Amino acid sequence: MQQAQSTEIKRAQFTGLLDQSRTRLFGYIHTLVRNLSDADDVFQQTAMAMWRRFDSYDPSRSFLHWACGVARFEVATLRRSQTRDRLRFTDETELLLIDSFAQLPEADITERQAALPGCIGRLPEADRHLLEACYYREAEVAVVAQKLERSPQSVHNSLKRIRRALFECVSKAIARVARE
Amino acid sequence: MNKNPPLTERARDLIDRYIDSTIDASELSELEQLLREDDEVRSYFAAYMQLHTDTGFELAARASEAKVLARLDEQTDQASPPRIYYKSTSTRLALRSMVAASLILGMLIGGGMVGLLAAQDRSRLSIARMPRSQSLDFIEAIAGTISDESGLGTGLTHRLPGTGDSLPKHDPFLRLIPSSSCLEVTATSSDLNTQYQVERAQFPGIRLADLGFTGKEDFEITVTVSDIPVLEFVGQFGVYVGSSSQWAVRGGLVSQREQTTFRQFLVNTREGRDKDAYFVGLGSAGDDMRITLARRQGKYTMGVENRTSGATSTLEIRHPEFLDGRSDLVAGIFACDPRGKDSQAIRFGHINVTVWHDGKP
Repeated sequence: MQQAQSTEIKRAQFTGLLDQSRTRLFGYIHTLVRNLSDADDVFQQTAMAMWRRFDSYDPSRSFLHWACGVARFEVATLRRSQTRDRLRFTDETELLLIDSFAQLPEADITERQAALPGCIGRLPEADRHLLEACYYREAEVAVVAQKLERSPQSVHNSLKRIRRALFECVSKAIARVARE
Repeated sequence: MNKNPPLTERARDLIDRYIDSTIDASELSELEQLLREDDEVRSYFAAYMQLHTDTGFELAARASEAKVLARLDEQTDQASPPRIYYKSTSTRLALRSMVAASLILGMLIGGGMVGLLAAQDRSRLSIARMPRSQSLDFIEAIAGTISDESGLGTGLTHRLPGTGDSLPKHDPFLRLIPSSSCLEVTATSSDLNTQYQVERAQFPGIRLADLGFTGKEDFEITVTVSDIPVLEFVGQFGVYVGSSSQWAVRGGLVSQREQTTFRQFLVNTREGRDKDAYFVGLGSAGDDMRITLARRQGKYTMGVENRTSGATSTLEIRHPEFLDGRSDLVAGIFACDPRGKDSQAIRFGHINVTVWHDGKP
């Protein structure tokens, strides 16, 4: 009985910490693997591994830092199983980036997620279609370019323009909320 | 006049190239240097990448909602709605993995092998279903079917297109053992994911069309596996349905780093890459299993019964719409050990494939 209660408390602690960190953890993983499906798989593996090792977690340290450290092992496993040789950051840079994700204000993340649908909705239809092709379907720029009979550089330029417009749009929304 | 754009613009440009995977090695080094040396670049990078991630989820949520609404329109006369994986929340952040992770944790912590996403409604439709089945007990050779190492017909008639093309007629990785009522399938070093050496991948099966399948009927394949061996990490075996090595859904057990343990998995292979994977802890080397992959009311589920431990579990997967309406599906068994050395064999026992045809009550 006591053991069950103890497990329940541990579970509540873990899920609470994971809940607070999951968006940034997922963002960090996605940054390293650059593919949503792969990030999704790595996130699941990371969550499992973290739970298995939760007894070794030092509560005086940042949970997100610990989580990102575990995630790097899972990313390394994924990379070993992949035949394609993608360019990747060095370990030093990957570690530095953990700090950067940890420093993203939680309130900004929440506000950005709230603002994003509206910002996407305000995009011209052609831009939304291009985003869908490249993001939801996770098609590579070259593949999308071929389908659209455009050059890869042209598609890349469009995506760059759209992403920056979205970034500006959500940044303004965050600033607006901060003023209120 | 500046030959180069301002540093910040250059940094932003490199970040966009990184996202689109159009960055080359020298540009990546340049980006890394900027990230290492400039806090502002790092902060911008993290915020921009987070938005990039959120955008992906937002678009996935939109697409999924549109599909679900379309399916609801089609199924208004059915008792239970389709399962929605990408849930729309107030922030519209659709995180399938987070839902799955929470459920996985619930399972781990509970310590039992309960269903992760239990099939919601196993009741049959009110109209009568007429089954057409094929069963294989491997108690004798069947002429004219895929041959084992000795030329004995295994009873399995087709391979998943795109797999096994380099295997000889008398397949050295198949061994029919009538005295033990089993077919041993050596897990070759191969994998559907990334199409790794699929030409030697073991995916024997039967064509569903041979059971009258036209693309719309429900079906299921059940197999028993005894005394599962130790496989290398990510070694796997189980059952599959698909139209080719590039387009399939498969499930079974996958070996973990601790090589004597396995986890149940169910995954879609889209364009040769594994997607939408679900995992559950289950099984150890030496266990006996019964694995069932089914399409019921159009939804795919996989059930695993561990006959050694007595545990059962069921997994559901994001709907593999790429298989909808296809009449050329092959269903069968598979064994892969991408990091192995073609040394471990899976002992498949009874196999049953059933296609359910609508009939009059």
